[in-house]
Amino acid sequence: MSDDLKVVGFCCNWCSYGGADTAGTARMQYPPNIRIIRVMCSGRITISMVLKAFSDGADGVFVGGCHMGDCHYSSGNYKWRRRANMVGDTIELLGIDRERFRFEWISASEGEKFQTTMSSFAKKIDEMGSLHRHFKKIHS
Amino acid sequence: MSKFLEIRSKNKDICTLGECGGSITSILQYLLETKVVDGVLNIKKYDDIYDGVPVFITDPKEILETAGSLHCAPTMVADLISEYLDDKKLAVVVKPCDAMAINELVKRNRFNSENLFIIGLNCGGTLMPEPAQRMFELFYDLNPEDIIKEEIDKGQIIVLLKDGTEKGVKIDELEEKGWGRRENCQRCEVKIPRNTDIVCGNWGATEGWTFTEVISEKGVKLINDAVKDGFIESKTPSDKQIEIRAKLEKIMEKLADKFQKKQLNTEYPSIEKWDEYWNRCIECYGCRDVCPICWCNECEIERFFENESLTPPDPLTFQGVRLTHMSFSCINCGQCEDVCPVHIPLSKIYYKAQKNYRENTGYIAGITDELPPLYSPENE
Amino acid sequence: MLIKHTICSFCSVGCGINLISNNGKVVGTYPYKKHPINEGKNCLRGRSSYKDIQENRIIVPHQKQQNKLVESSWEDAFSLINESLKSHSQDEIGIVVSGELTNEENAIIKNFAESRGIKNIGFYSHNFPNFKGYDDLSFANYEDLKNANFLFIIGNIIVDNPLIGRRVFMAKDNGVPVFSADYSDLTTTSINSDKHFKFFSFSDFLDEFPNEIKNELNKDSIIIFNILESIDNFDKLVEIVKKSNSKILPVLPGSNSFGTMNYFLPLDKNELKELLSKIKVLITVEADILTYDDGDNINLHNFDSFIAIDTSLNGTSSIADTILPTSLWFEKSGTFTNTVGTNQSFEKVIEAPETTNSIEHIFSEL
Repeated sequence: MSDDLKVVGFCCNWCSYGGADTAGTARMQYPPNIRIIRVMCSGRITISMVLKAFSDGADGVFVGGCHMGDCHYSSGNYKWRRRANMVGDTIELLGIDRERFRFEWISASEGEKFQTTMSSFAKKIDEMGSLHRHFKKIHS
Repeated sequence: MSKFLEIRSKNKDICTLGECGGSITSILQYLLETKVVDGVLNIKKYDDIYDGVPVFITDPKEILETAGSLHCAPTMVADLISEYLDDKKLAVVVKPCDAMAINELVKRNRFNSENLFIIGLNCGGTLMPEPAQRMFELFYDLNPEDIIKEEIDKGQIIVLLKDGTEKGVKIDELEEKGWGRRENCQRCEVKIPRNTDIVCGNWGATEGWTFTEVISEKGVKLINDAVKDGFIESKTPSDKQIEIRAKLEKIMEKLADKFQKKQLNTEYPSIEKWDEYWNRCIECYGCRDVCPICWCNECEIERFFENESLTPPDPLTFQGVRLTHMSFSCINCGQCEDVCPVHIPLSKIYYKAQKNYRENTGYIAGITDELPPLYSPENE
Repeated sequence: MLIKHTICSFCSVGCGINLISNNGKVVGTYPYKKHPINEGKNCLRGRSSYKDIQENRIIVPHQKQQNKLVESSWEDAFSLINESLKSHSQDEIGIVVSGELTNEENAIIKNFAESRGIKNIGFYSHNFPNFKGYDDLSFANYEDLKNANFLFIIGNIIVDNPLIGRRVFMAKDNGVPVFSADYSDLTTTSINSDKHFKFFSFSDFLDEFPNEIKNELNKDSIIIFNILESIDNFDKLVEIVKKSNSKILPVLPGSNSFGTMNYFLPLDKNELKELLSKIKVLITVEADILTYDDGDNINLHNFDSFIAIDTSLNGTSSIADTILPTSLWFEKSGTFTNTVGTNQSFEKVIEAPETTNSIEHIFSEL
């Protein structure tokens, strides 16, 4: 994956971040372009955050949460799932390919799933290239 | 009581002054005079027929000022109730979009619907006052000031002149050339607002009577009491009339469907065009402030855009955030588009987002009784 | 709850706006869709001006005693002012009004000044001259924007005066080419122009006016501008305009700057300073002098007597020896003349507080 592509990954503290940790301690290789932001729960993530990430230059956004039923706070990931289902349609209306957003359920023990998800997502972003928006990007 | 009724005022003057027998005027008078409500929220002519403005009335005598219908009055009253009148017992006369906005606000506990009598109107659409006047000059060859009344009937926009003559032009013809009703009204699929207490209109009605569909129990009691107290009289319409009304509704819905396909699909602006629109944005918050659905005390967009800037805001975090906050509840009232100083066709994108959300979740803004699934605390 | 029509008092475009009043207070706005200028569209500053002007509202007369402002009665205030007016000659008295008063109020003040022989009177027009002296210029109106074949914009009009910006977009949608120039090269106006020119000095820009723009200008093109560094700028612009016969659309600050020019002399910053240096008694009428360009260099402490007739306690009125509170724009009826010369009358939306007085009453007592 080309080095200047950036993927922001929001990972929940209890599962996906643990999954990333497991992948790390087991020395599983995954693309270095992903910048992980640890949040306490996927239920904490709003669509605004995804949009802000794209607005600030991310080429892809990934969100990881616990498997259904495993949420540390019982219903956070259900809430996130309802929001996540809206993201694709929303970013598409604003001119961003829905494939640039992905969400997945990864538990703390699933280091391998984390690795494969990241690799395939990075591959997809690499194929699509950097996010080009027609809207004038204004840097003061 | 039968679900369908024809009613009219028992007061002779109101009967001729008001629309279709002045039923609504008399019902409102009944409500105020018997002190069932503290006040009435309705639309009245301010300067002329192109200038409809919401008015809050507590004196039954002033109700007469609101008699008659106005089509060049693209108003929104739902947020007026939540901002200024939420502590009052109120009767409000609404178009379908007002009714849908009220539905959304009530679900969000902005005010109590028990304090509210909602009287709906069949609505074929509204016109923007300024373009409407230009249209009457261009297509009707008339001085707009000579027109004392307009009406949408039999697929035509019909105007009545001072000298008593009438003139009509086919809506299709006008709208093909970019005139006629507001775009939102063209694609609006709710022509008879059934999330109300009663709905009134002239579709299927006998001359001089109002065809009324009674919907809630509150509506049943309202009609019964107004009849009992001698403000209105009622009769049962024939099956034929009910059929005509249903047929008209179907025709209007079909037409709306055609416009939806055109405006939200085949002629929907391209991404490049949208970016051109977003480049116009002057960050005036007009769309947010006028939106009946938007009411947060602390707005998230303001956090993103604290500093005044010389350039347009990034649409992802400006319009995009608004899109994720309210689009699932967008009722297609078109107010955002009406007030946008730089002509961004905002309501198209919001309404398209609601249609997407509807497809995925089945939630119809302004109609479904529960809150949007996004608000649900449940595990499912 | 009551909704009433009025004319926006924020700038000189002359938009209609509906104000919502509740229990005798203005609490919100509602779109005035029938108004021919803006069709219910208003900018943020226009919509929030009803709030902004109520900040630091002053509703009782104040007088300075031992360097502190204390409340006083109207009688005391008037007698003190009249004493100092009597003890000074007419040449020692000066009046500075603002471009935000109604035409009716301007007439009253002009009458007052004439009857007293006061000649030191004027208002700060942000360097816009009196257009009366330029008879052979042709001024564009809003309808002309639609029929123009070329628009040249100076200043960030789309953000500063969005309801003119709206008409620029309407023209653009009809395929009219739009060029712009400004101090900054990245503004909403520049982004939406076909070509943009950046300048450091407006005056230098006019001296070396680009041929690219000159070639496009003709009798059906319009130059829109809302900034002038000095009256001298305007004369340079006029030369360019005269060569091409194009129309101009100056967008003045102040809701009634255009109308005020019919009554009083428009002053630029030097002329204002000169006027202030000549006088010993200063009367300001809703004129917040210290906020004007170069206002920091103006000294308002050296007058024998300084009377501020104002609605709020601002930088200028808080220095005054006497403050006479008057009504806000939506507490009075009157007419504004907008930047294309249209007279628009408006009605009062709510009653003014009882302890304030109208301009008419105040000047009848002086």
